[in-house]
Parts: sequence; C-alpha cells; structure tokens
Amino acid sequence: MHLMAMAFLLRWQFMRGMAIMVFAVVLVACGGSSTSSSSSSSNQDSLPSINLAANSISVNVGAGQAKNINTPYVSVTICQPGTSICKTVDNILLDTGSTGLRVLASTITSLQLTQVVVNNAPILECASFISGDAWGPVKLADVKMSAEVASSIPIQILADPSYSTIPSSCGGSQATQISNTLKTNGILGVGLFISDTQSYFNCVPTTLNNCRISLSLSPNLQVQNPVSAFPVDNNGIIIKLPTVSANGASLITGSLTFGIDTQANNSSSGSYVIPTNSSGLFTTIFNNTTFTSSFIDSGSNGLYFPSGNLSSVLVNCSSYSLAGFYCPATTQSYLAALTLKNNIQGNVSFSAANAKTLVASGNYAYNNITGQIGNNLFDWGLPFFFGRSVYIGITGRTSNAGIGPYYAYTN
Amino acid sequence: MKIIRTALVTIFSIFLLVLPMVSQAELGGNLASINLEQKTFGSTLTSSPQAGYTIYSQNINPGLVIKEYLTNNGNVFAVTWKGPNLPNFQVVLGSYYSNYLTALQNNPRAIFFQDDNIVIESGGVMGGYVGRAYLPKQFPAGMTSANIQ
Repeated sequence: MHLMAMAFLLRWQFMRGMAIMVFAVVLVACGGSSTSSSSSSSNQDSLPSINLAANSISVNVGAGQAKNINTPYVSVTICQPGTSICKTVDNILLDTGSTGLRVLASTITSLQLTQVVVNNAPILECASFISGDAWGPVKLADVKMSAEVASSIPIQILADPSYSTIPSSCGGSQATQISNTLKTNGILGVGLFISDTQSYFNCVPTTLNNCRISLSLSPNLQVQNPVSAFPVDNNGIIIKLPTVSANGASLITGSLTFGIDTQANNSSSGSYVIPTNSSGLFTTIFNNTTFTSSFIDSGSNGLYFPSGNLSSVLVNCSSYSLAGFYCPATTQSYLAALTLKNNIQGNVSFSAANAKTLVASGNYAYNNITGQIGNNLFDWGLPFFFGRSVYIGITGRTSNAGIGPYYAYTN
Repeated sequence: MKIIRTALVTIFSIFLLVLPMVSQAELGGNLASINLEQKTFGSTLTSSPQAGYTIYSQNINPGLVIKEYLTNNGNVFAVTWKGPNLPNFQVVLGSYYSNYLTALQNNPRAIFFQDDNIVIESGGVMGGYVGRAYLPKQFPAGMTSANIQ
C-alpha cells in the first residue's frame, strides 16, 4: 500500500526511479547496514556543479536530491537582471528534451524578478512534459553558468504561491503538476529550440476563464533556451559523460560545455551528425522496424522503445515500482541504426539488462536500463550519453556540424 | 500529505465518473462533443472523409494538431495528437482519462497503456510530441492501428 500510494504521485519522469530508491533505502535500513547514512546522504544530497572552463560546468549523475536513477544535475545562477543580486540553485535537472529554465519559486525567494506583462496583465504559462503540466508565471532573469550569461531572459517559476490555482486548460488540479513530483529544484531545458512554443495565457488568478485559450505570444517573450541567449558560444551544447560499467555506478561526473566549434574545447570534429526534422525528431531502425519519432533526451532515465516481436524476451518487470521497465531473464545485446547526415546509418550498440537486478545494487547511473514506449517512438535517454559526447545543435544556428536542429555524437 | 493526495484522487475519480454525462467526452464521444471541444480549445476544425470513417482535424495554438476518427455511425474511435505541446488530456480522452492517469503513474516518462478496450501512447520532446489513443473494439471494418497516425 505504501508503495502504491507513493506510486500514484509519481508523475515526473524520474519518480519511478525514486520509488525504486525509496524501496532500496528501506531494505538497507531493515538490513542494518553499517554505512554512515547521515554523512553519506548529506554528501550525496547536493551535487553542485563546478566551473571547468569559461564555457563549461560539471554535470553529476548520482543520488542527489531526487534519489532517482539516471538524473543529471547542474547548478545555475539566477540574478535580478543587470544586478549582482543572485542565487545559485543546485540540483537542477539537465534536460535536452525541453527548452528553457524552470525553477521552483521556493528556491529563489531572495530574488525579486520582473514579471513579463502584456496588456497590463501577467503572462502565465502551461508547459507540457510527458510527466505532467508545468504551470506558473513567466519572469525575467539573468541566467549564468560559468562565465556565460543570458541577460534578462524569460524563465518560468513553478509552484508560485501567487498563482496556486490551476486553470482547467492546464490540467485543472495539482494532480498532474510536475512541481508536485519534481524532486529537483528545477529543469534546465537546453534542447534543439530557442523558444519553448508552449501555451501562454494573459490573465490574473481571479479571472481564470481568461486562461482558457492560449495566446499567440511573440517567440522572444516565450521562455528561452538560455544557451541561445548567450552573447557567444550560443549555437549549441556538448554533454560529455564517462562510461558506466554493466553494474552501474553510484556517482559519475562529466561536463556541460557551451558552444560547438566556437572554442578550443568544443570541436565537433569526428562526430556523427543526426539532422532532425523541425520538431526535433529523427529515424532509428531497430529490430527491422523503423521508428520515425526518435529523440535524444537527457531527461529520460532509460532507453525506451516498443518491444514489438521481442516481447517474449523483453518482458515487463513484475515489480510494481518498476512498471514500464524491461526485465529480461538475461542481458540482451542489441544494435540500432540512427539516420545520419546524407542518409548514412550510424550503428549504436546497447544492452537491455534486468531492471530489477540492476536497481537492487543501489546505484544511480545505469547504461543498460530499458523500458516500454508507444508506436514509432524511440527515446534515447540518459544511457545513450554514457561514454559519449552528445551535441545539441540549436535551430538556425551554424557550426562545422551543420545548421540546427541536429544532434551529434561520438562513440 | 499522502492522505490529502489520496482524497484529491478520490474527488478526481468522482469527477471522472460524472464527465461523460456532461458530454465533454472526446474519445468515445461524437461529433457534438467534438464541436464542444472546438469551442473549449478555440481551434479551427476541418473534416476529411475516408473509406468507412471520417477524420476531424483541429489546429490549436501554438501548433498542436488533434485528429479524431469517427465511424460512419458518428462514434469517436481514435484520437491522435502531434505538436510542440500536449493536448488537454481530460478533454481529449474524456471518460478514458483515468486510464491516462494510470499510465502516468506506471511510467511517467513514456506513457503507455493497453487493455482490451483502449490503447494510449504518448511520447516525444518539448517541440515534438506525438501520441494516440484508440478503441480497438470500435474500429470500423478493415481498420487497423497502423492506419491511426
């Protein structure tokens, strides 16, 4: 019952991982582990970034605040525009599957950010995530990482107490709000796009009927990809994460580097380039099946694809807390082909291990955890990033790899 | 906290039971419910006759396309969505919204639900979401899930 009650709340994409970890923690507690939980948990609770170069910060995948598997964390400094009044917020999810910075109101109470206003009324946003809705006001902030600064860009504030009523056009209740299940302090969306193209409303809390039909809001007033707003190194990012062994790792550290072919440390030379359509999707061929809605998403905690005619091998895990993950009896090795520039195929090998066996180890980074998704979809989640450099080329911006939107990777 | 949420869920479930009666149901609904939905979304609506069924397509700001598949008897047996954002699932799935919530609970990252009556699939990234839901038992003759794109 406890897990079932918990599980209903698990709307954010990593929450299933949290359930696993909660379960694991309970087991450790019952087993009377001699591990000094107070010191180790406090060390792991916060995984702040350090500056690696003027255009690069560290990325951690570990227990962190969320205690979820395969969660990449970064730190972001948020400032009142044009001032030195700032707050560095740690434990923000690094997400190549969304656009723009979203942060819990409770993490920046020391800041007074300017509300974006149109027609004398505030702009409010309902942003879509697979895991639920993100409701809240749009405000202007300077967003800083290492020496890079995006000046006075729109960001979204989540769980803002001034806007606690959720209109029907954004789910209508707290039940599907990601802020209730998000165990990180926010989401840094550094995907393929400049503006987030979500639903915006021009209304106040007392006139929720006005929050029914979304506005055609000018793209520059929408929540912005901070990288695209940097004065330099603004054509994309590179995420580099180390290799993870088949049993997983408790904590790994890699890098988030800004710009592609703009500095000595961000060359795209030798990478395989995947141009996407204007929606950010490309084609994967796997198991003689074509998946036209493929994407690379650091915010997904596994590799998700339909089991198709492999369903007798890639069986769903029986454990409730692992619903949706595959639990094959033995680890399966697979090869998939990604559609590269000039229609060349790039071969990518991956493994599908038994998710139940994996999480029993209590690690947080796994390169071989897989699960079920719908027809035509292939979600190359965080496991794809381990042992690679992954490039995200922003729409309309040019590097030696081409003009965005594109993904690229090294093997 | 948990108790409060459970109460919320209960209230929500009651709301769901009432939902079909107010005829906001989409999947499992009819043309009248599509017209009601169009007003809710402030969308444009076009129809495209096919062999044995009709597709009603809505374009909703900021670029979301929702297509509803109606049998010649006027029943909505499938719905697809594609766009930069996701549809309002309460409106689009109507009385089947509870199945969506179950899928969300099972796998918050990749929405997948399947039983004898309904299949729900939803995935993608912000800017490129795709998904569909359909009622296999209500398919017109000759219809397969591969036709629902």
